[in-house]
Amino acid sequence: MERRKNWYLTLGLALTVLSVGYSALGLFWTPYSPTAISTADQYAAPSVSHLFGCDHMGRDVFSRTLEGASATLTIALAVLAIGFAAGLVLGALCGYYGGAADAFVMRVCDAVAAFPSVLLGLVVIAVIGPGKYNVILALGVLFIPSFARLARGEFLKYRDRDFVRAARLMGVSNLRIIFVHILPNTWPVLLSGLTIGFNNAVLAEASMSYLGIGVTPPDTSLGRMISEAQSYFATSPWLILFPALVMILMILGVGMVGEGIRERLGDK
Amino acid sequence: MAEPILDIQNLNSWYGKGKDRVQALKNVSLTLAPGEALGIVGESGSGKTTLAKCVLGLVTDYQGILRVNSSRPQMVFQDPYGSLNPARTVGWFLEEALRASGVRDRKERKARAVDMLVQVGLTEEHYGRKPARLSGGQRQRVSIAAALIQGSKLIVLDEPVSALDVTLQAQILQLLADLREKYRLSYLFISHDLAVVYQLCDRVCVMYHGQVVEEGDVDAVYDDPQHDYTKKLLAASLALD
Amino acid sequence: MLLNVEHLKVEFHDYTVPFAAVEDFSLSMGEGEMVGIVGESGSGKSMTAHALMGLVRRAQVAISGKALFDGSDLLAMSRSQLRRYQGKELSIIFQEPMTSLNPTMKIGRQVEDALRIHTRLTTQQRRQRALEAMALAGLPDGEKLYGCYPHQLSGGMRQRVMIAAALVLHPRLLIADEPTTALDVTIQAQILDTLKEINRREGTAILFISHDLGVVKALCQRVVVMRHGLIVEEGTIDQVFYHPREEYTRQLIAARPTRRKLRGGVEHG
Repeated sequence: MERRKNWYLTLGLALTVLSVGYSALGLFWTPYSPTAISTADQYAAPSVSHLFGCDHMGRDVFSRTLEGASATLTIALAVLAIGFAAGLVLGALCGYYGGAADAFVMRVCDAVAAFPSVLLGLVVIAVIGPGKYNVILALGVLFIPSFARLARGEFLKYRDRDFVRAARLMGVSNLRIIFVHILPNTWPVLLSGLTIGFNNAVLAEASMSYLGIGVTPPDTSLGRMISEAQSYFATSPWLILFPALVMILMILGVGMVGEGIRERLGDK
Repeated sequence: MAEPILDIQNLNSWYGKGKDRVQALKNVSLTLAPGEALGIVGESGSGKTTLAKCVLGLVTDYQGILRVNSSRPQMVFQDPYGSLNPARTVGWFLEEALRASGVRDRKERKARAVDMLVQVGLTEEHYGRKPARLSGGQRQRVSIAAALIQGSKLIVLDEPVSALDVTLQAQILQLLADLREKYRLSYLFISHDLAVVYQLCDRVCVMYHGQVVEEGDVDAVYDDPQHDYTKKLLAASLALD
Repeated sequence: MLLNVEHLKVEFHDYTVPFAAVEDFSLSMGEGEMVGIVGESGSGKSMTAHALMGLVRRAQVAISGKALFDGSDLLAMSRSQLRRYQGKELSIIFQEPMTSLNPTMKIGRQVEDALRIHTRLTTQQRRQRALEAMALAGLPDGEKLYGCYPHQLSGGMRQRVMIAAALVLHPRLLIADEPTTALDVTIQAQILDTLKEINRREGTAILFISHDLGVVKALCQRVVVMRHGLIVEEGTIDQVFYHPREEYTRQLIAARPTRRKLRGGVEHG
């Protein structure tokens, strides 16, 4: 029987493709140099030559959102890559084997998760210094516990299923059971967790840049742009509007993909 | 008599730890000859599942003698919805058993998997299907195929038909009878239903509170039950006829 | 007539093509009668019961036909009208006693639940009625069980608690949806005896749903055989069991385990 159309997934994927395409464009091409200062164009309102207007230093906002979006996306993806990979392995082993090591790892995760990640990020940055790569490292490590816990729950659920027992009786090794037998069953839950994680990563980067401990000039990111633009909100609202809009599209798209995955999961 | 494929003498087993430790099996002794089918009948909590787990090596907290003269005894589970990996195809699952026993050649694996499917009454068409696209009876057939494909001679059947509709039950029981004859399999058939056990088994072992309270040829036990509990079980399952 | 179902149809709209779990179901039941519905999974037998009890979420499902209970149509009632009947005039017990009881609530409270909704009895009176219902359901030491939690009870006892909770308001119709399938055979026989006893003493009509004709035969006077959402055959239990008219009914009967040995290698079809 045919499934009903999954609108969340379709629309979410469309928005995601759009925002990822937008960010990818920023890697190769911008209409102006994002850092070119032009006193003549200070506070220029959106027009044909400057689609999104110009900021307090006369830099083209469209060019800057292109570059900012690609920076934000890269940081978020890198944070996820670290947090998800390490969290998955840790959680899978803990959930499958259980025991004292599992209890210890989970208590550590609880302790880390008890603080807001931005606050912990602040402490880490204070120690290792600001900059794009340090932000990725700090947030990546801080994202491990949430993924570890998610993965652990899933592996705990499957480890006593009959099909796992059957594999054990066949003589399949434990590591193969974990990563080849159980893992594919956990993708729907882990992927929808990944979409939530993506949004948290985008917001965490934005918060840290907003606090001035994230990306450092001349680099920029969407969070950084919003932070810089706040003083001019009353006079030049487009400075904050466009980067915020790009960020919202990015989060909305990925969020809807996650919702769509959950909906499909509920179908089973 | 030939050497038994399963020989259990004075087996005691426990579960739980510390003061919650409960004895699940008390001095259980039984043997199973090659090609024989032995029914283990009892209610939930009678120790029949613990006994099966000991035989399969899934429970190791036991004392006594337990000798298994078969490579890797296998199990067919009760719930056809839980015993197959939902994310993998039927063919993959069967081939995984062959991979685990060291069959390297892909073509050979596929050929043997397809052949096994045919043996259990399915076709090559089911090879590429995931469990979600199989009925309960078909799944149970795949489970049986997976249990046999490594060539194990000792198969533990844990209530293999109790979750199925009656018409399917009859088909699966007939299949098990056919396969037993063909491959000279030994069955340890766990059930709470004496009527089903009667159809498939040569001998029956009635368990109650961790002990074997009656054991013998199925006809003898049916015609002349000795223990009160056996009488109760018989009355319950035949009263429905 | 206590219950008169006419052309019940239950259709799902979750999929692009509507799927009818129950195609056409009609049944009349008299006061105090015991009727069985037999069918395999997917026959629509449980869906029929759930539709009658108002347990089908109407948002995704189209229900048509009539189900007159004592003259009023259960299918046409609003949720609040239906609530006045549920648990009071008609009750249901399910297959899985573990999941249909609330694990965090004491047994006594769960048995009393319907009394809290439908009556204004005092705590003492409620307790008294609950203990009576438990005794009727075959739990004589209700006093001891009253403060227990479900996990402290065996499967058979949990099913008796379910029965007690269903009977506490003396409903006129009890729908039993495979109530013994998950239980051991000896316990199954005891529960069937209890249901018979309840029918004899209270005059409760019982609509008993099962995949097993044998179980239905042990309990009911009349039986309806269902397949693919339709009624295949209907009649008194002796007619259907000993003189089945339809091939499918014959198959169902033949499939029941009897004292017959299966031999390997025999051709069968």
